[in-house]
Amino acid sequence: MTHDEVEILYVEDNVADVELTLVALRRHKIANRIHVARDGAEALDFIFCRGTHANREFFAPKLVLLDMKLPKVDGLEVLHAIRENERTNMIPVVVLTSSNEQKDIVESYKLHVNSYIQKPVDFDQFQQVVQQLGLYWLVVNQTPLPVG
Amino acid sequence: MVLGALCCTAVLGYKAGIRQASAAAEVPTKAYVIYLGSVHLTLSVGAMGVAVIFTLTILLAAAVFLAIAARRRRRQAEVANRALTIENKERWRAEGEVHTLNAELERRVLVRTEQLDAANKELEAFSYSVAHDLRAPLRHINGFSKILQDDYGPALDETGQHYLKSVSDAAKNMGQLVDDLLKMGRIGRQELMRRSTDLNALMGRSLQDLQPECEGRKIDWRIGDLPSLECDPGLMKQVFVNLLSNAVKYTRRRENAVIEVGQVTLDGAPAIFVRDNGAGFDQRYAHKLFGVFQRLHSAEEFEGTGVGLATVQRIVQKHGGRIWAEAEVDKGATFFFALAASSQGSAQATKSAAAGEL
Repeated sequence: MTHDEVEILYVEDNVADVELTLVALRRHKIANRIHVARDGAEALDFIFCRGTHANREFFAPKLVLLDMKLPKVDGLEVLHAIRENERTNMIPVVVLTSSNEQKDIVESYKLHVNSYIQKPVDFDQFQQVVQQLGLYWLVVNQTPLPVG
Repeated sequence: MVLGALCCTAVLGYKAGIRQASAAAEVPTKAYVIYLGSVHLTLSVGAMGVAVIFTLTILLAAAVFLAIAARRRRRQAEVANRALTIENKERWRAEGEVHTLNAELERRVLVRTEQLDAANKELEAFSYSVAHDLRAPLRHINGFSKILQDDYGPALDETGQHYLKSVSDAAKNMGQLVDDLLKMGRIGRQELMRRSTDLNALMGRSLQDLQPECEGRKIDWRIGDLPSLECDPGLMKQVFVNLLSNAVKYTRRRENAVIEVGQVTLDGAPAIFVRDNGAGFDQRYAHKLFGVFQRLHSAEEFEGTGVGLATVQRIVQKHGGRIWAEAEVDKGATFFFALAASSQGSAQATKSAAAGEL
């Protein structure tokens, strides 16, 4: 898999969450081209081809799944950086997080998040959410042609 | 007195002199005339002197009297001044004390406000942390036990599968508890956004929310005319959804469930009621009904976290109102709530048929 083919950039620090989400995605045969960034800084390095991803050729993913509470650079800061940059400001970003704190929801929407989803505790419900997400953003939704 | 006597003597003496002079005039000699003249003169001068002395004495007495009076008045004024000065000083001191106390009070209010702010921030941070960090492990417990069930279930016997299901159910249940507690905590910190709200419309929206719970159920809804109230519509909807959802839940075992909503006038103030013919409860435990995590039914009988009614009570109390319930085991329950007088809008007269029974 090359980085150019990455469809989903999944930003999540918790290993158990990563595993559960990947199981859910796999079970519904959605996006096997997924890159997992374990903190906000790594996510930004990946998106903007910096640091450990300096050799990657810029290619906007079809979707960013973003956790809120992340080490180093948190979800809102990642979202802010994505929206600030002309090359990335149209990438669909979906916040997928544990909390439904009003503060986080409001701030995310102020930064033009495309969707805000609270992960349900029940795994069956979570699988449904992941399935709907994948289907909508990767299949149904149309995104602008990539800006080089 | 002495002066008076002197005057009298002088005047009498003068008159006696004249009489004597008149008597002696019968012997009109020159010497006698001279004598009489000098006596007369002497008497006149004496009388004048006496008069002058008398006048002077009077004047002196008046002056002395006035001086004494003036002195007395001055002394009185001095005493009054001294009293005034003392009083002024006392007032200044009191004013100073009031200022000091006010400053102290303001300082204390400031300190308390800071403490309250800090406590609120801590609470917010706590609830934020609970929302983010406490739910995550529950999701993981539930998720992995579900995957185990799905992928390795056949390898387990019935008991093993039952244990696994218990694990995932428990995690799900605790997730619900955490969510409900967070919701209730949020209500406590939330500011009321009061506006005139038509409860009939609010009721309609609440019923829509309850559609999934009512599926497959036969419920006879008897909705009376409700008033408009000055309240926070978002929070008031939660009150309705909670009370109606309870009514739906606790009438689950009734073939003919009846849920009534209406308005009654109690002690001259309107109250809203939600009545059902469901499981009811023992009135002796009514005081426990609104406590957090307090339940009057087992989770096997009727599921729930025991946060719903506590939340409802919080919302009603935030509106300055009160909520109470009347019930009988197996004969249904009626929940009443009344908001503070100031929040009663164009409350209409009771129209509910139920009013007659109350």
